[in-house]
Amino acid sequence: MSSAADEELFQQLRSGNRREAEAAFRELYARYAHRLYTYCARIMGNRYDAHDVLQETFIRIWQSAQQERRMSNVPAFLFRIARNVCLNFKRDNRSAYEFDEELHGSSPSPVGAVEQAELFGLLQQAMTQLPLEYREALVLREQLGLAYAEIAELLGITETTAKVRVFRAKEKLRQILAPYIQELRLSSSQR
Amino acid sequence: MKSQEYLQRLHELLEGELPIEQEEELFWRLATEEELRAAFRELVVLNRLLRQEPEPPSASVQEALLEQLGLTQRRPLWRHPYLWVAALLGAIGGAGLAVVGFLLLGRAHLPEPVQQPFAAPTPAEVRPHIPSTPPAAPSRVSSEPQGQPTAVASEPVLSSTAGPALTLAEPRLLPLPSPTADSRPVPLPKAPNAVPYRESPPLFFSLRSLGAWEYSWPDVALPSRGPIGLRDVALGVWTPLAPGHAVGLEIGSEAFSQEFSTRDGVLYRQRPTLLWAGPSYWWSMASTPSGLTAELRFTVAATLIGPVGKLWLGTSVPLGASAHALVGLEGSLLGYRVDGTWFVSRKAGLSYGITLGR
Repeated sequence: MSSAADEELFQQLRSGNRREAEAAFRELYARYAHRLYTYCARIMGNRYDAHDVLQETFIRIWQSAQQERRMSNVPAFLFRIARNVCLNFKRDNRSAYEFDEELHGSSPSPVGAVEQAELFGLLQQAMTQLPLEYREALVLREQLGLAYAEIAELLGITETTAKVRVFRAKEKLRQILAPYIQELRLSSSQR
Repeated sequence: MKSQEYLQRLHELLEGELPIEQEEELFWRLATEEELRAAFRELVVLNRLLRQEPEPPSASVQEALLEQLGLTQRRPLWRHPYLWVAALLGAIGGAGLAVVGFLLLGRAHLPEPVQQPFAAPTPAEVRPHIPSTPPAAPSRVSSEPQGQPTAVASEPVLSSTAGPALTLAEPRLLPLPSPTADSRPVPLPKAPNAVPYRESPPLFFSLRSLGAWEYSWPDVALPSRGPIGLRDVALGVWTPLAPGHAVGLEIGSEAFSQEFSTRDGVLYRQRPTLLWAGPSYWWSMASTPSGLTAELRFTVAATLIGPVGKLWLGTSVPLGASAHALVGLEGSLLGYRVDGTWFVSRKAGLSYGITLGR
């Protein structure tokens, strides 16, 4: 099952055999849940909404599979659904949370881990100030590692526009975080 | 070239997309321009932060999804998360039934205390009563081969293979011996150092307070609220099995410090008050002449979040005919599971209380 292509797994979701469908679902979840969750958490800004969006995304994937649709690019389809669900959440203002400081990642090194965690919290906060189109381009590029061509296809924009959005998003973040990064550098040089 | 364009080249450099022919110019600019170097440092930190991955989604999301989509397989019974709760409750119930059974059935077969001396003669005092002289009217006795007369027992008909074969032609009842000294009540010998018989009570009770001056690991200095107004108390009902040994059931309410982190990386520190109940074993070890008794008690109990083991070592002091004061050290170990990981809370402290009806 683990060597099956995404498209095969998607087909197996509508298998009459419940055990087979469950195995396919589990495999697709194992392959993409973490990346989708990362995307949702960055877009929504908190893990509570991210969990809700992730759940709804997979339910929609299941429903789509039952409609006997042919799927050629499952990852793109998954991210498109996740994006739509995130946008719907944002549009309907269904979120009860604004920003989640506990949305930590793994610290690259134990040295200065506290400062890193603090800075990461600031980054999350700063990201919520970005326009949504910049934020999602940045997340897709920096956190999910998609190529600009994939981002362009996913967002329905040109590759150049995708590059510009990522550049502007990072510049904006750099300007917001510059004082903190400077302070961090000074305090670590004093140690 | 504007600084904005150099900034863009910096971004491209860090993404590995800067054409090699543009690198030299950018490096020269970096070497000479402090502002661009600062921007470069900031971008390095920013890129590192951006590429940090958050924790994976909670495992419960997948299970909830499978359940919602009707894909959940029936979980094997032995993997059920509350199996151990059921097992412990079963053990508690079983222990309770055993105690009740012991009380209702076991005691019914215990020998009743002897109130009257036993009047029956002991085997040593049972002797055949054979008159030394033949009766006045001799019976007809045939004897083969010797033909010698022999003694005739009253009943039943006797035959002997060891002696000469006897034929009792007409058995005759011999007069029963009159009540003589043989049938007098025989006093039972006294056992050395006899203890006057005292029927132990079927049940006794204990009430104690837990964890005075307690130390907890982890140490969480938070107030705790009892669920039904009870805090750090335990009530027990016990039945003696043998001198110095008793089993019982205990129920208590007690605060436990907890510190654990979930799969999401959130650290929780709390001190809930938990109800617990379970079977217990009580061992009274040795007594001093003044009545102090060293005692040990071991309890295995269940709470709604996990099992608890308790060990109490202390002493009891008689307060009256059937009451004892208890003072001792008590240690507790609570195990609980969060997101598939087991955590343990430990606590130790002074415990004091009273037993009644013992």
